[in-house]
Amino acid sequence: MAFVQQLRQRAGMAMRAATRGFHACRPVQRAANALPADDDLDGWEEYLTQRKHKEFDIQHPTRDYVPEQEVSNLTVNFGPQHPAAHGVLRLVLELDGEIVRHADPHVGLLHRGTEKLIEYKNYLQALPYFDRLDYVSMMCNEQAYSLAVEKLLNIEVPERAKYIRVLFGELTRILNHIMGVTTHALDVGALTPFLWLFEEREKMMEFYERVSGARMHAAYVRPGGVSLDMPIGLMEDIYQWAQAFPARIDEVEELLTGNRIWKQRLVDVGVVTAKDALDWGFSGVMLRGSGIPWDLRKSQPYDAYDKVEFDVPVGSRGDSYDRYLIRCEEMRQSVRIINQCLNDMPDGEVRVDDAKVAPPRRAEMKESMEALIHHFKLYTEGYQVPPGSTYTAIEAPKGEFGVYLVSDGTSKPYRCKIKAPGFAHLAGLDMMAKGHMLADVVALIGTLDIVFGEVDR
Amino acid sequence: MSGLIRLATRRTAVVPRLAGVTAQRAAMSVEKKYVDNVDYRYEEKSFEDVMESASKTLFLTEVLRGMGMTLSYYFRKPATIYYPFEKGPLSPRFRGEHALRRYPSGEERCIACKLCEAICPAQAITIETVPREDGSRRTTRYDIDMTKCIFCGFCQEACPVDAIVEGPNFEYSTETHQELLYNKDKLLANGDKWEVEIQKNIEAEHLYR
Amino acid sequence: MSVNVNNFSTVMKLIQRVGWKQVARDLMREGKVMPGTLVGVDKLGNRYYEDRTQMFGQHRRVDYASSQPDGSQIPGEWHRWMHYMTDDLPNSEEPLKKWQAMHTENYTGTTKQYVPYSTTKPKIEAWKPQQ
Repeated sequence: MAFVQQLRQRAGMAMRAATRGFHACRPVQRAANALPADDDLDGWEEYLTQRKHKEFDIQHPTRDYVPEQEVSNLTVNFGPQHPAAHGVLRLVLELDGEIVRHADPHVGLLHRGTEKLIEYKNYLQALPYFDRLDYVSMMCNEQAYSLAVEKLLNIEVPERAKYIRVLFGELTRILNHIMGVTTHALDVGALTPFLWLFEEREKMMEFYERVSGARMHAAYVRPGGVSLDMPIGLMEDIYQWAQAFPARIDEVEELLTGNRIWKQRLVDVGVVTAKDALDWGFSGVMLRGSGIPWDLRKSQPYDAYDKVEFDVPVGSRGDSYDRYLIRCEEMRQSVRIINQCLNDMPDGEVRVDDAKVAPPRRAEMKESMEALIHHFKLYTEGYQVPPGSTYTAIEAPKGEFGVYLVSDGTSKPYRCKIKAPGFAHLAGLDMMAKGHMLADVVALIGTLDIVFGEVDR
Repeated sequence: MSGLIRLATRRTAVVPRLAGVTAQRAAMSVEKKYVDNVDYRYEEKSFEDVMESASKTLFLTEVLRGMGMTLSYYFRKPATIYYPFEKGPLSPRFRGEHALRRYPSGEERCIACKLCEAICPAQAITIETVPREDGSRRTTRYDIDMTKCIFCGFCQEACPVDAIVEGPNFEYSTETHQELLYNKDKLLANGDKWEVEIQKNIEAEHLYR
Repeated sequence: MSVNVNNFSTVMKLIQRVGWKQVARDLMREGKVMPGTLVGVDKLGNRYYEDRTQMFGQHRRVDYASSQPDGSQIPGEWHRWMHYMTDDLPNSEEPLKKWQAMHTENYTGTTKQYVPYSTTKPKIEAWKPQQ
């Protein structure tokens, strides 16, 4: 019985659909179950009255009306183990069909309590924690922390150390942008650039290894300079690499920049207006993509950035495609800075000439009693930092990476607040993803270039 | 305008161009209050531009060029190495598996000063010490929890006698957790095993340290 | 399948030199044979080859003596050379100190694996009830 009823229902619906178009142009005599013409008010009144009765009469033989139902949006979990989530992002998405109505990022799955741990470490011991925040731009984080400590100590690092920091800071920027651009491409569906550029990334990690002894978590940039001087031959090899690297960016751009699929996925996806970018506290590429020329390396140069020449690419439309172009151009500019650093690299010490901050050289430590005492003091208690507070920020590859450091005069920080650019960017994901398709969320996470080490801290 | 970045070498006019800024312009324009300066307009297209983009769309030029690019990688030498028959480069500074060293006489170097224990940020090192029968100060316990260790290299920097070092070995992965809880004997055995190389690496680095 | 597979004449030359058994084994195991010159043999019997015509970073190679090759089987003397830290070949004349140990591979998963134990006397003596 129910089957027959269903059939009737369907027949009625089909009829209704078929007749709807005709009535507008030629008002013919209306068949039973058909809709009245648009201007036929009496007909409509009759129809609605009938409908009202039918709604309550389930057993009505000519029932053709399916009452409208309230449909709630579908809520899905994106992550925390989604391969395109760039780590442990749990995103609660409210979907209307395939359109994202609301994206709610849940953070904290990689929370390690770095800020609190640092309060219980002396200033040197706190350094390796910064490698592990944004774990694809290690030395930039160390640089931010070192600059903060140096500001509190009121010391100036030697010129060579500054240049080494800039050299490796820019290598790190390339390291990060390679990761950002290629995994973005990977999420969108282009696997190959990932493999091409990771070969270059491998070479850069070898440079990291040669200078510090570790391929990623370098602990190389220290308050007071850098830990060791660069080995002989490293600059030559970096030069050789920097000569060849722009060709690799060309290759990736050849494949992606003009590609229609890449453009269909990126152009006008995740548009951030300049006002939105400022309101949501964006920084770095996310801000420059929206047309705001803001780069801490230019506006408040640290280390040797005031001595090198480079340009800051700025987007014009604030979409994901602009941000991709900016990242590619920033890599080229970084190569330019690297070349300048290699040419202008000064001689001299790499650690500040202050026995109370920088540990003595080993040869000295083994011969001089005073140096040995300094060595013991520095590796047990550490150095005291005068009371005060500072907010020191650098232009990390992802944006403004800031360290707010409060010292109470002891050898351990009283408080260390880390301002990670990725956190603000992730907060803006809801604003960016609203109204886009589910598949665009993946592209948006890629363009945000978030790393959960720094978001969750 | 000096310092202008032209990125449009391989791009058609449909693609928005990036505007470059110099240092002065950046500093100057940041002072302005930005409300909404995102340019939503497409650039005006000339007839040639339209023809170019149309032919591009029809003849799939950019896709074919991209595929050609990908094909070119097929004819290049692969960068992969055949581990373990070929191996990647390392430097003398490499921070790998820990080892406790000895003097050439065979006497262990460690004097239990506990500097490494003090500096270790992960608190992975545990040292206990009792004076030895001959009156010298030595450790009775020197444990490193390799699963806590973050390989920052601070212990080898802190050691005044070059006793604890992070050696060149990285192939010590284990099947169980407990195998990575190194005690003094294991660390000394590592030192005895790798001394030939550790000594040469320290020698190579002596100018920098 | 990659272009890296040696061309036919190289393989033929190599077969003449080292015999088809080794060439076949290398091809099966690694997908590649390396026409390098033998530069040395270590105490464990591993043989080391070098071929300057290969790309830099791929020009040194080890042929393990063991039937179950593992990266940890290279002793310290050759480890340095193998990882491109130096171009100098290890000096086999150099005598080892008597406390220096023979190289061992990574024994994890075998009966020879390291098992941690305390190197100190226990601070508390547990009470053992009299039987």
